[in-house]
Amino acid sequence: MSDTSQASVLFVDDDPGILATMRMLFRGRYKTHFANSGSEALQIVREQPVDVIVSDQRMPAMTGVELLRAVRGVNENIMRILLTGYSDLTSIVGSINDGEIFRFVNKPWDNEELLQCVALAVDAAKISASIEPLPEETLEAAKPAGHATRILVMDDDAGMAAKIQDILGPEFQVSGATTLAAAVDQLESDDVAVVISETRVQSTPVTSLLGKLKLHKPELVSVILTERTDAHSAIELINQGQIFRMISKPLHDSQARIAIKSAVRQHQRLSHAPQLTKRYEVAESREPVANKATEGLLDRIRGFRSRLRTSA
Amino acid sequence: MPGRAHYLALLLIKGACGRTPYSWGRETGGEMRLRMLFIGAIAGTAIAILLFLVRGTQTVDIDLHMERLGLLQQIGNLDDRLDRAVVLETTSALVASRKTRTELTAEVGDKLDALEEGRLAFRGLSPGVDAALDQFQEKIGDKFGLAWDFESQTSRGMERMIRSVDSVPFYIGKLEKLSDDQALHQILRSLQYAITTYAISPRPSDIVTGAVEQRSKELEEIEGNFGTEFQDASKRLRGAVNDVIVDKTDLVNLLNDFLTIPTVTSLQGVEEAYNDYHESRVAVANQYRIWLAAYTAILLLMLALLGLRLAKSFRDLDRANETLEEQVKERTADLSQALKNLKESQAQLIQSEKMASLGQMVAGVAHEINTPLGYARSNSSIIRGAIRDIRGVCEAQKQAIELLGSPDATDQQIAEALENAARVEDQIQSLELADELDNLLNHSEFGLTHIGELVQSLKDFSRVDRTRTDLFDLNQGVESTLKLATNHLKKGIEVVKKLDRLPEIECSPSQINQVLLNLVTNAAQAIGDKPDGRITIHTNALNNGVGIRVIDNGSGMTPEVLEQIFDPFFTTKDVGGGTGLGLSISYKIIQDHHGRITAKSTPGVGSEFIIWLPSKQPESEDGMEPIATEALAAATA
Repeated sequence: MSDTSQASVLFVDDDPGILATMRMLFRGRYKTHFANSGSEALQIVREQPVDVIVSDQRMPAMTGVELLRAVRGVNENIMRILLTGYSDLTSIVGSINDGEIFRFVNKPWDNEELLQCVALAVDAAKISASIEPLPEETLEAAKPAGHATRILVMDDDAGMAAKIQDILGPEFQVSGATTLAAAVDQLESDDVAVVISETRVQSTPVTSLLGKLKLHKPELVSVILTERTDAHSAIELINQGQIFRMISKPLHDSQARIAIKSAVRQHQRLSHAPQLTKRYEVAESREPVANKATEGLLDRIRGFRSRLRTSA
Repeated sequence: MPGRAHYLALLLIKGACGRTPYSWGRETGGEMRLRMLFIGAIAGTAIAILLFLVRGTQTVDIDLHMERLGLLQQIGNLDDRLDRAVVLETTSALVASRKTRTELTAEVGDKLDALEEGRLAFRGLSPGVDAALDQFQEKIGDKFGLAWDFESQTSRGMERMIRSVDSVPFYIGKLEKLSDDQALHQILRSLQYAITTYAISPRPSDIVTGAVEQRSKELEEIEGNFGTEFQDASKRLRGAVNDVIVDKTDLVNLLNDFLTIPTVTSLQGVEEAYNDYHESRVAVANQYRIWLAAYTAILLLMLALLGLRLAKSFRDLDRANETLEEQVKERTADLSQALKNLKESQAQLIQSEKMASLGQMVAGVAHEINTPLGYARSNSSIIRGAIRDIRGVCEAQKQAIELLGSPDATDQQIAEALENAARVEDQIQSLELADELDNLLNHSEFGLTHIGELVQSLKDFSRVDRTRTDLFDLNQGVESTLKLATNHLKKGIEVVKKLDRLPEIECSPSQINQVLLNLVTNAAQAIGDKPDGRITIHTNALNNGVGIRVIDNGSGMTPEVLEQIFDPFFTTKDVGGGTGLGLSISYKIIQDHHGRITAKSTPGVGSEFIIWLPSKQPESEDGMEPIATEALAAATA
């Protein structure tokens, strides 16, 4: 507790009511800072150590996503949480790709959940702050020589893997799976670095699968490549799947290349410093898993992690 | 005949085309022209052949033929009459008969000229006719030549003969005086009679001639019985008779020569030659007639084929018409279905535009509501926790106070209780906490009031109304619209309201609010991230109604864009940014209210939308299209 009591959390909202509530809710738990605009928040971040930032999305002058992107530029270690009453898909996708946010919390919120979420973020922030940032050369060197980086594509369209292979070039080895079972088979046998997935494969949502993968294989990085999605499932994907990027179909070569390469780099970073995976911990789904088939697959994932351990 | 030919030609043209009218239209212009040319050539040839054949049958002119025959007959008659005139002339030297002959000769000359040239000319008809004509002309020439000789010769012979004949009665009278012999007188009378008869006969028969010679011989036989005077007179008489006979014989020979010239035969030769010619022509005409008949039969056959073909075409046409009607029915059904679908999808589009603008509004409203709702709810649970803490303080203090008042309590117990109460209070800081809670409650109250206002605005905005007869203060509409549009206006856009006192107007408030929201939303979007964005809303009473102006200092529009802004589906926003129906629906709503909406804009400076609404709606208009109001009501209920 002595550790976390010194953690500092910054709350940003243009509504003073929210800030007053936060002051009361987190009183005595962390060192709290408050700002009622993005520019004020940025100033605080620059001047004082901040571990976690919780921001509203809709604010005059600077939106939450804009703020979080700027904050990430100032200090990458600050964990970023969006707390907002309503957000359109564009800002959610922006918060994932530009803000690399940890959680997306809807107003009105549940006090306990918010406390827990901030606590997780504080833990992750403390751990990552203790790790020296890796220079790019180290990452390059850490790459297994002679091995092409493995990428798995989960999509109903069997041709998607080939398209992505074309975009990425021979440096990467792209394989495809058109069912979740086939995907799990590949994940079990191969050392996959990045999973590129549609939001649904064979009309089964991939969120819980990605969440479980993240739990049991934390260094795996996932990218969503989707034709269409809604705000709700995008929020689920970030909160429960910790997706790293979200890109839209049809594929734009350069956009996809940049997104996937940064995902691969993220994977290398996580492999090098496993403690960092805390930054990408997923939240347990509140919704019960309805699909029996998915349940079976999730059991297999649990299983293969333990097998990996024993074989190691 | 030409009429029939024309008819046939027409049929030929039709036949040669050989197509149903359907197939005509599918040809190109060039093909069509070629085809028409071809058809024209065939028709022309057919008509030419027909005319040629018809002309061939018409070479024999019966009237002309009869006239020609008549001419030949006239010539024959004239010849005959000429002969008779000549004969008559030989017997009587009458001037009248000569005159007749001259006239006849002239007439014959005319007719002969007619044979050579003119309408009835025989010359040149055929070589046979020409030869016969030449021969005839030659003969008739001879005859005329003879006639002229004859005239000169006979006039002398005739005079001599007449003198001789005239001398006969003189000698007979002398002889009768010289003798009373009855037999002699008988002979003399017979002789006189015989010589007169002989003289006046154009060509005396042998009997007449014999009678004269007999009487002359009888006189010779008996003259010896009489005296010399008698004998002398008798010899003179016989000499005169001989002269008469000699002259007469000469005349008769001349006449015979004249009459025996074979004009009649050669005329007959002409006629025969002409008849031969005529026959040949008739034969040719008959040949043509046969050909014409054959040709006509062929044409009729073609006509029959064309008729069949035409009938078939008509049958096909009828069948096509039947299927056409069915097709038309089908197509009509398809079209009406398509129209229905179109109307439905149009209604759906309008609906979805309403939902889209509503969605934007709901997004803002949801955020506006969720924020105070979030902290009010959170505050409740914080306050609940705080109350639990305060209750702990209260209980500790209550316990200490009870112990203080209790006679059984030891000092030690009281001291512990007081110490505990102080510790708990120290932990909680209940008075400070109460202040904080007060503060939270103030915020909660403020937030709940804000929620209440928003809900009230929603209710105002979406006033469920189906008629335009509601009386509505437009300023109220501006206020509630601005409250709902706050989220669009948040990014530091200044809103200036210049609202005059307005008369209440008859309108559908929810629809007018929708228009206002649309204009304010557009204005906010036009301003975008531009600093010092300002939206000015003017309202004023104007011309028996109210005027509203929504002015922004945003990006403005080019004249081209300005022209199209009220068109359906026209949008300058990115795909997904808007349906492009907002302004067109606004336009329709204002039109439905018998108002006017116009726009002015300068690129880079800003835009101004101007609305005028009448204070009263025409009475005949009852009810309005309920879609907008229903959608709003459903979405905000």
